[in-house]
Amino acid sequence: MIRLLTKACLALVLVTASVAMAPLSAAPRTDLNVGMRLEPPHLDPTAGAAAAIGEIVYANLFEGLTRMAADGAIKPGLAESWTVSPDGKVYTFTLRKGVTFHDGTPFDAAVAKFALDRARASDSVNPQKGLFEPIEAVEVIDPATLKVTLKRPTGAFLFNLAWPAAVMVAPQSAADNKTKPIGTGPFKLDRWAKGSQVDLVRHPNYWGAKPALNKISFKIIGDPTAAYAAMMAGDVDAYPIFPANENIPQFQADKRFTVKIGNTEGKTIVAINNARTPFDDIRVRRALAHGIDRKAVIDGATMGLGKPIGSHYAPQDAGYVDLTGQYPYDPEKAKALLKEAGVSNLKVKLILPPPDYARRSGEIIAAQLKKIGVEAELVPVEWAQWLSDVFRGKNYDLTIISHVEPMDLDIYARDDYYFNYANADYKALYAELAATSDPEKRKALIEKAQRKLTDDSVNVFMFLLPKTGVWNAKLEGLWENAPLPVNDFTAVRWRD
Amino acid sequence: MSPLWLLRRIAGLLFALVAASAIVFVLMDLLPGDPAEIMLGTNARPDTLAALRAEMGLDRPALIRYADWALGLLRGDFGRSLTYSVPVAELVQERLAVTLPLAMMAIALTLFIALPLGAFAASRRKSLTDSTIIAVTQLGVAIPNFWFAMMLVLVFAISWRLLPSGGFPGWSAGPSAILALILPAIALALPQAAILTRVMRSSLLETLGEDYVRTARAKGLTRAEALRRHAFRNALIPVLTILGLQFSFLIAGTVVIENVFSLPGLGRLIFQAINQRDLVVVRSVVMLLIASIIVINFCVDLAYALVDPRLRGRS
Amino acid sequence: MSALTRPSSSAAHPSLWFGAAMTAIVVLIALVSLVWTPQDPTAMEMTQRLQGPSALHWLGTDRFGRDVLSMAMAGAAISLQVSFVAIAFGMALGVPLGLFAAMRGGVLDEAAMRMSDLIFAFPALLTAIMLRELFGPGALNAMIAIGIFNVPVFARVTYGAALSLRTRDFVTASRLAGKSETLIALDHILPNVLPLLIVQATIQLSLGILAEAALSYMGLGVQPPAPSWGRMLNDAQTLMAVAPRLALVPGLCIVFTVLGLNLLGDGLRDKLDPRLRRRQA
Repeated sequence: MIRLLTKACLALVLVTASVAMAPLSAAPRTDLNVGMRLEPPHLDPTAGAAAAIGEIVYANLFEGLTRMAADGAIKPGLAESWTVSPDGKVYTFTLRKGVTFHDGTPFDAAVAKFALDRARASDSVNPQKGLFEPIEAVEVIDPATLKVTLKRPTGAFLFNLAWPAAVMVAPQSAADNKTKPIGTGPFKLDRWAKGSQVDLVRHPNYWGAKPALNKISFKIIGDPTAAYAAMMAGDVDAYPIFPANENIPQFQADKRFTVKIGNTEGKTIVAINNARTPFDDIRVRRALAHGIDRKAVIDGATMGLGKPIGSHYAPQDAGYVDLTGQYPYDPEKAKALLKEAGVSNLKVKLILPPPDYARRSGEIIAAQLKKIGVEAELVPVEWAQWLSDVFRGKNYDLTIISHVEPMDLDIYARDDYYFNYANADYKALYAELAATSDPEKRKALIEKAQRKLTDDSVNVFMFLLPKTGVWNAKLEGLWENAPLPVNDFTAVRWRD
Repeated sequence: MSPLWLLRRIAGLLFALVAASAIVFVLMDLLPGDPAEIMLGTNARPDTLAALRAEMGLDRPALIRYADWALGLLRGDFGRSLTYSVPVAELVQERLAVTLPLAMMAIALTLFIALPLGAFAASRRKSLTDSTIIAVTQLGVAIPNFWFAMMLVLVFAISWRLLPSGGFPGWSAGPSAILALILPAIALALPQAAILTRVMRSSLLETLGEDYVRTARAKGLTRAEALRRHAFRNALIPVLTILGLQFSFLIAGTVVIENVFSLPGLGRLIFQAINQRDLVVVRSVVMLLIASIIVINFCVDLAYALVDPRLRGRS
Repeated sequence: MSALTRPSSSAAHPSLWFGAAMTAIVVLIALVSLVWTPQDPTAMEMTQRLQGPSALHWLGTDRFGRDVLSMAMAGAAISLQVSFVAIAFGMALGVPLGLFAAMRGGVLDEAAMRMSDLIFAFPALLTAIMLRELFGPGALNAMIAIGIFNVPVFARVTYGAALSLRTRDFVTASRLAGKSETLIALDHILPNVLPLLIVQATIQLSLGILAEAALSYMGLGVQPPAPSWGRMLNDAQTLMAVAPRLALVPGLCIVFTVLGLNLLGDGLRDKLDPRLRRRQA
């Protein structure tokens, strides 16, 4: 009976499938189905921190004054050029002319001033409000010229303006951007079927070069098995970040797919509560660093795809110095350091947020720490709890987390940050870096900062999250690396 | 059915609904975590968080928020989602368009398989057919539905590429929307059908052992006639009970299955909303689910009373 | 005529013996795993990860190079433990509740059954999610969530059966003879409900094992490093196309255990239910 039923179903399916597949066109496709692991809560990058927002709208739907290129370089966006005053405090932007929002509203200096002022206003809900904190004043010189005055020289200001949270929004539409995003980009929102997919279509009056694609559908398929099957069946053409590293070898072996293992900015660390005994003792923190076998963690948690890091800085960024050799895996040395610090029978809680990399690394690290006499109890939590207990409450011993903001050496200089690092030397070092705009001097300072963090063994620095891009081999123009959590599809096209 | 009996049942129903709303609200408010923090992430500054909390209305006292919510529910207003910032009713409508057809398909499939199969087995008790059916249902009951779902995906989606592995194209996509629900419905229905087949069979056999059926058979009715005329009706009582129980199980089941198949259903909405601390959505949707289950149980009770007259007149 | 004292041949109850044997095997493995497993089920060996079956690892190794056989054995102990405790909890509360409601009738009946409806209206998975959010995940939460879900199940089954028994002649006779309702419940109703309860407990035990697996699969149940079948399945999910063995082993363990319990229950029902016995005679 069941078998009969199955047969009947199959027959039905086969008939439907053959009907659906009948027409085959010869011209290159102009649509793209993109797989996404997580659904964005809404589509306004100036009001939410979720990476999924930027991964859909950045460069495709919304544009900023500057924009990030695939190699991480800062390029002109809605500002076609700019000048910086000699003291590094005044930026004068020349804006592009003839730019309109999807609803026809023209973009000019007044709109740009509105967008920047909105992001730094007292009632702003911008998740990256800190990026705009250096701004002293924004002035409209004429419709095509915008003058931004800073409180102090800020080396990363143009870079900051390229973030998804700094995109340009118009006064009339800003409030509704969460559900009806109105930007200046080459694509506009067509439809959002909540829970399943977001469709963007080409905006006919785009100011710049016409993109090759007509339509982009972001399909939210988070389950790795479903994602794998969707790729194999061709339901999805590209996963900028495939949800499971385990399947990568199979895609690599299949000629239909291009696989690019690139870099993200996700620095994965075992964060240590530096204020809590016994972690306030540098010997204990160094013991942890010696007691964790980075290679084994990378093999087990990322299927060997993660790149090792030795400090809180990504290898592809300017000024990187390789410090991965500073604390080689050495359980005996770790034990000796613990003994020296007078620590025995250490019992700690290792708090694990939801992502696979954290849960898996946690299991491996707990097993490794056991070998140096540290009993780590695994405490899996959801993001809500991680944010309130660990991040805001600073109530934790150890936790595993990936810091995805690019070049975020500043977090170690912040007062009241959850590492409880509070080191005056580092703060001075970072203040010097923030005020320096000369690239060479910046590099030297960045190197110094990395060394300082590693010397102090503030956290155990483990690996860079890989960007496991998988897409149809006939596609070109997708980003190999992710200098920001974004997917710029403006240059993507199908080869025929 | 006496009006008094009905009235008492309805009073009980209303009491349960009010109690449930209070429990749901208190539980949601006890959850640790802050929706504003989740929305704004790790780089958010305290003043930004405060601004968002005010925007979400989270800075008001709990009692006022409860009154707001409960009164809103009475007016049919489910509130506005904190994360999606659209009305909850809209979200629920979208999600029900997936979950309801899925649950219906699963229940229909369950009944379609279980009732005839159970009756068939009972009518051929102790035969090879009976043993075979029992063996198959034993296996069906023993298979975890999510594991079964994984295997279905492996065979039908990955190896044979006959059916979609997950995701839902929306009803506007026509037949492919139904195709997307086939594997999930099978995964949900088969274990349930196996249980129900067993219940149907044993319940029929039980009623066959009752005196009145034995009397009927003594009067010369064949086994099959006795089954059809007398046993079937009474055998439905436990079947109804189990079906009522299964509905709740099905809803829990859909959370898991919707996750396996990445279906944008109600179960996944709740799951995500809890993780994002979208308290308004969780509260309203959980309340909706509880209300529907309470009402369904109420209907099962009514059905009980209709099938079994002995249960009606009780004081 | 007492069904329980009648001798019965094993041939009449093949499912009973099959079920008993299968359950005994699982219980035995679970007990053995408490003192001995071929390898330490938590010991990782990254160089040995994702190995196929070998003399050292009969069922191969998982993504961390752990021995799958040892993990499956230890998983048996966890699964049984969680399920048994949960069902016992559900019966201990549910049976008296249903019995009480059926015997008393009136407002108390109504209140008790509405309360059980209310509990029941919270699906187990949601309860488990709430418990995790409030107290963190763990085996205890899984037990409580499954147990709570079982209270109304047993309450309703007891209630339904007791209601129809209450109007039976032998009960009415006892009542006329002056027996108290409590005594009637214990002497006449409960023994007659018992076979139904055993059948239901069988279904619930197997459902308990399945629920534990589902909860662990969703990350709501037993936490690492303690091995569990559900978590092994979760772990195997991303490896389905690479090493389907990892999904098959825990899946088959669950099927075997649940099947064994169900066969055992079926056999017991045939043996214990007086009405069914009578018909066989």
